[in-house]
Amino acid sequence: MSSNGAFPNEMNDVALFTDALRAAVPARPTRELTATLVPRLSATARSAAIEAETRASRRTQGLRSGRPRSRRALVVRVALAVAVIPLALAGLAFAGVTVPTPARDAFDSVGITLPNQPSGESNRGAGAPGPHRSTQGGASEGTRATNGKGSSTAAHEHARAQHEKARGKALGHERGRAIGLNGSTPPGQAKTPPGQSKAPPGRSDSAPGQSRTPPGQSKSPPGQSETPPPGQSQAPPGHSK
Amino acid sequence: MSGERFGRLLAAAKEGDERAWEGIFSELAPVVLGYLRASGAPDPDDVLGETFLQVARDIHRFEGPEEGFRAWVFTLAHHRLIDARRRAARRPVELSADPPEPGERADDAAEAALARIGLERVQRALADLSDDQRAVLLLRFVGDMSIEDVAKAVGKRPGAVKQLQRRGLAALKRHLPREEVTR
Repeated sequence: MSSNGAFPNEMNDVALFTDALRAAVPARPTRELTATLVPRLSATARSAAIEAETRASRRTQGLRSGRPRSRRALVVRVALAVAVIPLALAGLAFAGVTVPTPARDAFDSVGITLPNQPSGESNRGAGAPGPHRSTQGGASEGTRATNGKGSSTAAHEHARAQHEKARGKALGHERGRAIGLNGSTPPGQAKTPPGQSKAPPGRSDSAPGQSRTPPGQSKSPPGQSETPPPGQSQAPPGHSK
Repeated sequence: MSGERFGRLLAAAKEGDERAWEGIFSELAPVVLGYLRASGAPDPDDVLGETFLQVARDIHRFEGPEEGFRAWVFTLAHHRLIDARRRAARRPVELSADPPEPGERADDAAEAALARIGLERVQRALADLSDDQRAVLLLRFVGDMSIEDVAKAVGKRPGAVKQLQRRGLAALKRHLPREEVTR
Protein backbone atom coordinates (compact mmCIF):
# COMPACT_ATOMS: atom_id res chain seq x y z
CA MET A 1 0.00 0.00 0.00
CA SER A 2 1.28 3.47 -0.77
CA SER A 3 1.56 6.36 1.67
CA ASN A 4 -1.79 7.81 0.60
CA GLY A 5 -3.60 4.54 1.20
CA ALA A 6 -3.87 3.40 -2.42
CA PHE A 7 -2.86 -0.03 -3.66
CA PRO A 8 -0.12 -0.18 -6.32
CA ASN A 9 -2.63 -1.26 -8.94
CA GLU A 10 -4.85 1.69 -8.04
CA MET A 11 -1.88 4.04 -8.28
CA ASN A 12 -1.12 2.66 -11.71
CA ASP A 13 -4.69 3.25 -12.77
CA VAL A 14 -4.55 6.86 -11.55
CA ALA A 15 -1.22 7.53 -13.19
CA LEU A 16 -2.42 6.02 -16.44
CA PHE A 17 -5.58 8.01 -16.41
CA THR A 18 -3.87 11.32 -15.60
CA ASP A 19 -1.44 10.65 -18.42
CA ALA A 20 -4.34 10.02 -20.75
CA LEU A 21 -5.95 13.19 -19.51
CA ARG A 22 -2.83 15.21 -20.35
CA ALA A 23 -2.92 13.83 -23.85
CA ALA A 24 -6.65 14.07 -24.36
CA VAL A 25 -7.40 17.51 -23.01
CA PRO A 26 -5.00 19.94 -24.69
CA ALA A 27 -6.49 21.38 -27.85
CA ARG A 28 -4.66 23.64 -30.22
CA PRO A 29 -6.53 26.87 -30.91
CA THR A 30 -7.46 27.56 -34.49
CA ARG A 31 -5.02 29.51 -36.64
CA GLU A 32 -7.56 32.30 -37.11
CA LEU A 33 -7.90 32.72 -33.39
CA THR A 34 -4.14 32.81 -32.92
CA ALA A 35 -3.69 35.25 -35.79
CA THR A 36 -6.25 37.70 -34.45
CA LEU A 37 -5.62 37.30 -30.75
CA VAL A 38 -1.83 37.58 -30.51
CA PRO A 39 -1.57 41.14 -31.99
CA ARG A 40 -4.45 42.19 -29.77
CA LEU A 41 -2.70 40.78 -26.74
CA SER A 42 0.51 42.65 -27.43
CA ALA A 43 -1.38 45.90 -28.09
CA THR A 44 -3.38 45.46 -24.88
CA ALA A 45 -0.25 44.77 -22.86
CA ARG A 46 1.45 47.86 -24.34
CA SER A 47 -1.46 50.15 -23.58
CA ALA A 48 -1.84 48.66 -20.10
CA ALA A 49 1.84 49.31 -19.41
CA ILE A 50 1.55 52.91 -20.64
CA GLU A 51 -1.60 53.41 -18.59
CA ALA A 52 0.10 52.02 -15.49
CA GLU A 53 3.06 54.35 -15.98
CA THR A 54 0.77 57.33 -16.47
CA ARG A 55 -1.20 56.41 -13.39
CA ALA A 56 1.97 56.05 -11.36
CA SER A 57 3.33 59.41 -12.50
CA ARG A 58 -0.04 61.05 -11.90
CA ARG A 59 -0.03 59.60 -8.40
CA THR A 60 3.40 61.04 -7.66
CA GLN A 61 2.33 64.40 -9.12
CA GLY A 62 -0.78 64.25 -6.99
CA LEU A 63 1.36 63.61 -3.94
CA ARG A 64 3.54 66.59 -4.79
CA SER A 65 0.68 68.97 -5.35
CA GLY A 66 -1.25 67.42 -2.50
CA ARG A 67 0.57 69.34 0.21
CA PRO A 68 -0.51 72.88 -0.70
CA ARG A 69 -3.98 71.65 -1.40
CA SER A 70 -4.20 70.09 2.02
CA ARG A 71 -2.77 73.26 3.62
CA ARG A 72 -5.39 75.32 1.85
CA ALA A 73 -8.03 72.93 3.04
CA LEU A 74 -6.71 73.30 6.58
CA VAL A 75 -6.94 77.10 6.37
CA VAL A 76 -10.47 76.86 5.05
CA ARG A 77 -11.39 74.47 7.82
CA VAL A 78 -9.97 76.79 10.49
CA ALA A 79 -11.76 79.79 8.94
CA LEU A 80 -15.02 77.89 8.99
CA ALA A 81 -14.51 76.93 12.62
CA VAL A 82 -13.83 80.57 13.52
CA ALA A 83 -16.88 81.75 11.60
CA VAL A 84 -19.06 79.27 13.43
CA ILE A 85 -18.37 80.89 16.85
CA PRO A 86 -20.05 84.28 16.17
CA LEU A 87 -22.82 82.52 14.34
CA ALA A 88 -23.42 80.33 17.36
CA LEU A 89 -23.41 83.36 19.66
CA ALA A 90 -25.85 85.18 17.39
CA GLY A 91 -28.03 82.10 17.36
CA LEU A 92 -28.02 81.99 21.15
CA ALA A 93 -28.93 85.67 21.28
CA PHE A 94 -31.83 85.13 18.90
CA ALA A 95 -32.95 82.28 21.11
CA GLY A 96 -33.10 84.67 24.05
CA VAL A 97 -29.93 83.74 25.86
CA THR A 98 -27.99 86.60 27.43
CA VAL A 99 -24.65 86.59 25.71
CA PRO A 100 -21.55 87.47 27.80
CA THR A 101 -20.53 91.11 27.69
CA PRO A 102 -17.21 90.65 25.84
CA ALA A 103 -19.01 88.84 23.07
CA ARG A 104 -21.67 91.54 22.95
CA ASP A 105 -18.97 94.22 22.87
CA ALA A 106 -17.34 92.44 19.96
CA PHE A 107 -20.62 92.49 18.07
CA ASP A 108 -21.15 96.16 18.99
CA SER A 109 -17.72 97.02 17.65
CA VAL A 110 -18.68 95.84 14.19
CA GLY A 111 -22.05 97.58 14.40
CA ILE A 112 -24.23 94.57 15.12
CA THR A 113 -26.68 94.77 17.99
CA LEU A 114 -27.69 91.42 19.29
CA PRO A 115 -31.38 90.97 19.98
CA ASN A 116 -32.91 89.94 23.30
CA GLN A 117 -30.07 91.42 25.32
CA PRO A 118 -30.42 93.66 28.40
CA SER A 119 -29.64 97.27 27.45
CA GLY A 120 -27.98 100.22 29.20
CA GLU A 121 -25.91 100.06 32.36
CA SER A 122 -27.60 96.85 33.52
CA ASN A 123 -26.39 95.45 30.26
CA ARG A 124 -22.86 95.92 31.45
CA GLY A 125 -23.27 93.72 34.47
CA ALA A 126 -25.34 91.14 32.70
CA GLY A 127 -22.44 89.00 31.80
CA ALA A 128 -21.03 88.91 35.30
CA PRO A 129 -21.98 86.10 37.58
CA GLY A 130 -24.94 86.81 39.86
CA PRO A 131 -23.61 87.15 43.39
CA HIS A 132 -20.93 89.66 42.48
CA ARG A 133 -23.23 91.84 40.48
CA SER A 134 -24.98 93.42 43.46
CA THR A 135 -22.10 93.48 45.91
CA GLN A 136 -19.30 94.71 43.71
CA GLY A 137 -20.44 98.29 44.00
CA GLY A 138 -18.77 101.33 42.57
CA ALA A 139 -15.22 100.08 42.61
CA SER A 140 -15.88 97.38 40.09
CA GLU A 141 -17.98 99.76 38.04
CA GLY A 142 -15.09 102.15 37.98
CA THR A 143 -12.67 99.47 37.02
CA ARG A 144 -14.91 98.39 34.20
CA ALA A 145 -15.21 101.97 33.06
CA THR A 146 -11.46 102.27 33.10
CA ASN A 147 -10.99 99.05 31.25
CA GLY A 148 -13.76 99.84 28.83
CA LYS A 149 -13.39 100.69 25.24
CA GLY A 150 -13.86 104.47 25.65
CA SER A 151 -11.47 104.86 28.60
CA SER A 152 -11.99 108.55 28.86
CA THR A 153 -10.99 110.89 31.65
CA ALA A 154 -14.61 111.20 32.68
CA ALA A 155 -14.85 107.50 33.19
CA HIS A 156 -11.68 107.57 35.18
CA GLU A 157 -12.99 110.35 37.39
CA HIS A 158 -16.21 108.50 37.86
CA ALA A 159 -14.31 105.44 38.93
CA ARG A 160 -12.27 107.45 41.40
CA ALA A 161 -15.39 109.04 42.86
CA GLN A 162 -16.97 105.64 43.27
CA HIS A 163 -13.85 104.42 44.95
CA GLU A 164 -13.85 107.29 47.40
CA LYS A 165 -17.51 106.72 48.12
CA ALA A 166 -16.80 103.13 48.81
CA ARG A 167 -14.07 104.00 51.25
CA GLY A 168 -16.37 106.39 53.14
CA LYS A 169 -18.96 103.69 53.39
CA ALA A 170 -16.49 101.33 54.84
CA LEU A 171 -15.51 103.79 57.55
CA GLY A 172 -19.10 104.39 58.53
CA HIS A 173 -19.68 100.71 58.53
CA GLU A 174 -16.84 100.16 60.91
CA ARG A 175 -18.05 102.83 63.17
CA GLY A 176 -21.52 101.45 63.25
CA ARG A 177 -20.21 98.08 64.16
CA ALA A 178 -17.99 99.53 66.79
CA ILE A 179 -20.86 101.06 68.63
CA GLY A 180 -22.89 97.95 68.29
CA LEU A 181 -25.50 99.44 65.99
CA ASN A 182 -24.71 97.19 63.11
CA GLY A 183 -25.45 93.77 64.36
CA SER A 184 -24.09 91.76 61.50
CA THR A 185 -22.84 89.13 63.86
CA PRO A 186 -25.28 87.80 66.37
CA PRO A 187 -24.39 88.38 69.98
CA GLY A 188 -22.07 85.76 71.34
CA GLN A 189 -20.85 84.73 67.84
CA ALA A 190 -17.64 86.53 67.28
CA LYS A 191 -16.15 86.22 63.81
CA THR A 192 -12.79 85.50 65.25
CA PRO A 193 -12.40 82.94 67.96
CA PRO A 194 -11.81 84.25 71.45
CA GLY A 195 -8.23 85.20 72.04
CA GLN A 196 -7.52 85.56 68.29
CA SER A 197 -7.87 89.20 67.80
CA LYS A 198 -7.08 90.63 64.37
CA ALA A 199 -5.02 93.37 65.92
CA PRO A 200 -2.25 92.52 68.25
CA PRO A 201 -2.92 93.12 71.93
CA GLY A 202 -2.60 96.77 72.83
CA ARG A 203 -3.28 97.89 69.26
CA SER A 204 -6.95 98.04 69.25
CA ASP A 205 -8.61 100.55 66.92
CA SER A 206 -10.36 101.92 69.88
CA ALA A 207 -7.47 101.83 72.18
CA PRO A 208 -8.01 103.80 75.32
CA GLY A 209 -6.86 107.33 74.85
CA GLN A 210 -6.43 107.01 71.06
CA SER A 211 -9.29 108.60 69.38
CA ARG A 212 -9.46 108.58 65.55
CA THR A 213 -10.47 112.14 65.30
CA PRO A 214 -7.97 114.48 66.69
CA PRO A 215 -9.01 116.36 69.72
CA GLY A 216 -11.26 119.24 68.83
CA GLN A 217 -12.05 117.94 65.35
CA SER A 218 -15.29 116.23 65.73
CA LYS A 219 -16.94 114.95 62.53
CA SER A 220 -20.39 115.25 63.90
CA PRO A 221 -21.94 118.63 64.33
CA PRO A 222 -21.88 120.17 67.75
CA GLY A 223 -24.38 118.61 70.04
CA GLN A 224 -24.51 115.40 67.95
CA SER A 225 -21.52 113.65 69.18
CA GLU A 226 -20.87 110.20 67.81
CA THR A 227 -19.31 109.21 71.04
CA PRO A 228 -21.61 107.16 73.16
CA PRO A 229 -23.07 108.62 76.26
CA PRO A 230 -21.02 108.28 79.38
CA GLY A 231 -20.93 104.72 80.55
CA GLN A 232 -21.18 103.28 76.99
CA SER A 233 -17.76 102.76 75.66
CA GLN A 234 -17.33 102.21 71.84
CA ALA A 235 -15.95 98.80 72.23
CA PRO A 236 -17.44 96.52 74.77
CA PRO A 237 -14.98 95.28 77.33
CA GLY A 238 -13.04 92.41 75.97
CA HIS A 239 -14.26 93.07 72.36
CA SER A 240 -11.34 94.52 70.63
CA LYS A 241 -11.65 94.81 66.91
CA MET B 1 11.54 26.75 -20.22
CA SER B 2 14.44 27.94 -18.08
CA GLY B 3 13.87 30.56 -15.46
CA GLU B 4 16.06 33.09 -17.20
CA ARG B 5 14.35 32.57 -20.53
CA PHE B 6 10.97 32.88 -18.93
CA GLY B 7 12.07 36.11 -17.21
CA ARG B 8 13.10 37.62 -20.55
CA LEU B 9 9.88 36.46 -22.17
CA LEU B 10 7.81 37.97 -19.38
CA ALA B 11 9.64 41.29 -19.52
CA ALA B 12 9.17 41.46 -23.29
CA ALA B 13 5.50 40.55 -22.97
CA LYS B 14 5.05 43.32 -20.42
CA GLU B 15 6.44 45.77 -22.97
CA GLY B 16 3.94 44.47 -25.53
CA ASP B 17 6.37 42.53 -27.70
CA GLU B 18 4.37 40.49 -30.21
CA ARG B 19 6.88 37.64 -30.43
CA ALA B 20 6.83 37.20 -26.69
CA TRP B 21 3.08 36.99 -26.80
CA GLU B 22 3.27 34.42 -29.54
CA GLY B 23 5.55 32.34 -27.33
CA ILE B 24 3.29 32.62 -24.30
CA PHE B 25 0.16 31.90 -26.32
CA SER B 26 1.59 28.87 -28.09
CA GLU B 27 2.83 27.50 -24.77
CA LEU B 28 -0.29 27.96 -22.69
CA ALA B 29 -3.26 28.32 -25.03
CA PRO B 30 -3.59 24.55 -25.87
CA VAL B 31 -3.77 23.47 -22.24
CA VAL B 32 -6.03 26.33 -21.26
CA LEU B 33 -8.31 25.69 -24.21
CA GLY B 34 -8.30 21.95 -23.36
CA TYR B 35 -9.21 22.78 -19.80
CA LEU B 36 -12.04 25.04 -20.96
CA ARG B 37 -13.37 22.46 -23.41
CA ALA B 38 -13.17 19.64 -20.89
CA SER B 39 -14.92 21.83 -18.32
CA GLY B 40 -17.80 22.37 -20.70
CA ALA B 41 -17.27 26.08 -21.30
CA PRO B 42 -20.16 27.50 -23.37
CA ASP B 43 -17.82 28.94 -25.99
CA PRO B 44 -14.27 27.77 -25.25
CA ASP B 45 -12.57 29.90 -27.90
CA ASP B 46 -14.35 33.00 -26.65
CA VAL B 47 -13.45 32.27 -23.01
CA LEU B 48 -9.86 31.60 -24.08
CA GLY B 49 -9.73 35.02 -25.73
CA GLU B 50 -11.18 36.71 -22.65
CA THR B 51 -8.69 34.91 -20.44
CA PHE B 52 -5.66 35.94 -22.45
CA LEU B 53 -6.90 39.50 -22.81
CA GLN B 54 -7.09 39.75 -19.05
CA VAL B 55 -3.60 38.27 -18.84
CA ALA B 56 -2.41 41.01 -21.22
CA ARG B 57 -4.17 43.73 -19.20
CA ASP B 58 -2.72 42.64 -15.86
CA ILE B 59 0.65 41.21 -16.84
CA HIS B 60 2.46 44.39 -15.76
CA ARG B 61 1.48 43.54 -12.17
CA PHE B 62 2.70 39.95 -12.31
CA GLU B 63 5.99 39.01 -10.69
CA GLY B 64 7.09 35.42 -10.23
CA PRO B 65 8.39 32.22 -11.76
CA GLU B 66 6.94 30.25 -14.67
CA GLU B 67 4.94 27.91 -12.43
CA GLY B 68 3.33 30.90 -10.77
CA PHE B 69 2.53 32.42 -14.15
CA ARG B 70 0.95 29.19 -15.33
CA ALA B 71 -1.12 28.92 -12.14
CA TRP B 72 -2.17 32.56 -12.51
CA VAL B 73 -3.31 32.02 -16.11
CA PHE B 74 -5.29 28.94 -15.11
CA THR B 75 -6.86 30.80 -12.21
CA LEU B 76 -7.98 33.56 -14.59
CA ALA B 77 -9.30 30.92 -17.00
CA HIS B 78 -11.26 29.29 -14.19
CA HIS B 79 -12.80 32.63 -13.20
CA ARG B 80 -13.69 33.49 -16.80
CA LEU B 81 -15.20 30.02 -17.14
CA ILE B 82 -17.45 30.66 -14.14
CA ASP B 83 -18.48 34.01 -15.64
CA ALA B 84 -19.26 32.38 -18.97
CA ARG B 85 -21.28 29.69 -17.27
CA ARG B 86 -23.26 32.30 -15.38
CA ARG B 87 -23.88 34.19 -18.58
CA ALA B 88 -25.04 31.14 -20.47
CA ALA B 89 -26.99 29.78 -17.49
CA ARG B 90 -26.32 26.34 -16.27
CA ARG B 91 -26.40 23.61 -18.86
CA PRO B 92 -25.29 19.97 -18.78
CA VAL B 93 -21.68 19.37 -19.55
CA GLU B 94 -21.38 18.87 -23.23
CA LEU B 95 -17.96 18.22 -24.57
CA SER B 96 -17.30 19.64 -27.98
CA ALA B 97 -18.58 17.56 -30.84
CA ASP B 98 -15.46 18.35 -32.84
CA PRO B 99 -12.61 16.24 -31.61
CA PRO B 100 -9.95 18.67 -30.43
CA GLU B 101 -6.61 18.64 -32.13
CA PRO B 102 -4.15 17.15 -29.70
CA GLY B 103 -1.81 19.66 -28.18
CA GLU B 104 1.92 19.68 -28.49
CA ARG B 105 2.53 19.01 -24.82
CA ALA B 106 1.41 15.40 -24.82
CA ASP B 107 4.49 13.26 -24.35
CA ASP B 108 4.91 9.66 -25.42
CA ALA B 109 3.73 8.23 -22.10
CA ALA B 110 0.59 10.33 -22.20
CA GLU B 111 -0.08 9.40 -25.80
CA ALA B 112 0.37 5.74 -24.96
CA ALA B 113 -1.99 6.03 -22.00
CA LEU B 114 -4.57 7.76 -24.11
CA ALA B 115 -4.22 5.11 -26.80
CA ARG B 116 -4.87 2.41 -24.23
CA ILE B 117 -7.85 4.08 -22.56
CA GLY B 118 -9.34 5.80 -25.56
CA LEU B 119 -10.28 9.42 -25.97
CA GLU B 120 -14.00 8.76 -25.92
CA ARG B 121 -13.82 6.99 -22.59
CA VAL B 122 -11.79 9.80 -21.06
CA GLN B 123 -14.30 12.36 -22.28
CA ARG B 124 -17.21 10.33 -20.93
CA ALA B 125 -15.53 9.86 -17.57
CA LEU B 126 -14.88 13.59 -17.31
CA ALA B 127 -18.45 14.43 -18.22
CA ASP B 128 -19.75 12.29 -15.35
CA LEU B 129 -17.75 14.15 -12.71
CA SER B 130 -19.19 17.00 -10.70
CA ASP B 131 -18.10 20.50 -11.71
CA ASP B 132 -15.84 20.85 -8.69
CA GLN B 133 -14.24 17.42 -9.13
CA ARG B 134 -13.62 18.06 -12.82
CA ALA B 135 -12.14 21.49 -12.17
CA VAL B 136 -9.82 20.13 -9.49
CA LEU B 137 -8.65 17.16 -11.60
CA LEU B 138 -8.09 19.27 -14.70
CA LEU B 139 -6.26 22.02 -12.87
CA ARG B 140 -4.13 19.48 -11.02
CA PHE B 141 -3.22 17.21 -13.97
CA VAL B 142 -3.62 19.39 -17.02
CA GLY B 143 -2.68 22.73 -15.47
CA ASP B 144 0.11 21.11 -13.40
CA MET B 145 -0.95 23.18 -10.45
CA SER B 146 -0.21 22.41 -6.81
CA ILE B 147 -2.98 21.67 -4.33
CA GLU B 148 -2.50 25.14 -2.81
CA ASP B 149 -2.74 26.89 -6.18
CA VAL B 150 -5.83 24.91 -7.12
CA ALA B 151 -7.36 25.78 -3.75
CA LYS B 152 -6.76 29.48 -4.44
CA ALA B 153 -8.17 29.22 -7.96
CA VAL B 154 -11.37 27.45 -6.97
CA GLY B 155 -11.75 29.32 -3.70
CA LYS B 156 -11.60 26.29 -1.41
CA ARG B 157 -9.34 25.05 1.35
CA PRO B 158 -6.49 22.68 0.40
CA GLY B 159 -8.13 19.91 2.44
CA ALA B 160 -11.33 20.26 0.45
CA VAL B 161 -9.34 20.18 -2.80
CA LYS B 162 -7.60 16.95 -1.74
CA GLN B 163 -10.97 15.44 -0.94
CA LEU B 164 -12.40 16.47 -4.32
CA GLN B 165 -9.37 15.04 -6.08
CA ARG B 166 -9.67 11.72 -4.24
CA ARG B 167 -13.37 11.41 -4.98
CA GLY B 168 -12.88 12.49 -8.58
CA LEU B 169 -10.23 9.84 -9.18
CA ALA B 170 -12.40 7.22 -7.54
CA ALA B 171 -15.25 8.17 -9.86
CA LEU B 172 -12.95 7.98 -12.88
CA LYS B 173 -11.85 4.52 -11.91
CA ARG B 174 -15.41 3.33 -12.06
CA HIS B 175 -15.36 4.25 -15.75
CA LEU B 176 -12.17 2.37 -16.34
CA PRO B 177 -12.61 -1.34 -15.78
CA ARG B 178 -9.48 -2.81 -14.35
CA GLU B 179 -9.06 -5.42 -17.03
CA GLU B 180 -8.97 -2.68 -19.67
CA VAL B 181 -6.64 -0.42 -17.80
CA THR B 182 -4.16 -2.93 -16.54
CA ARG B 183 -4.20 -4.97 -19.64
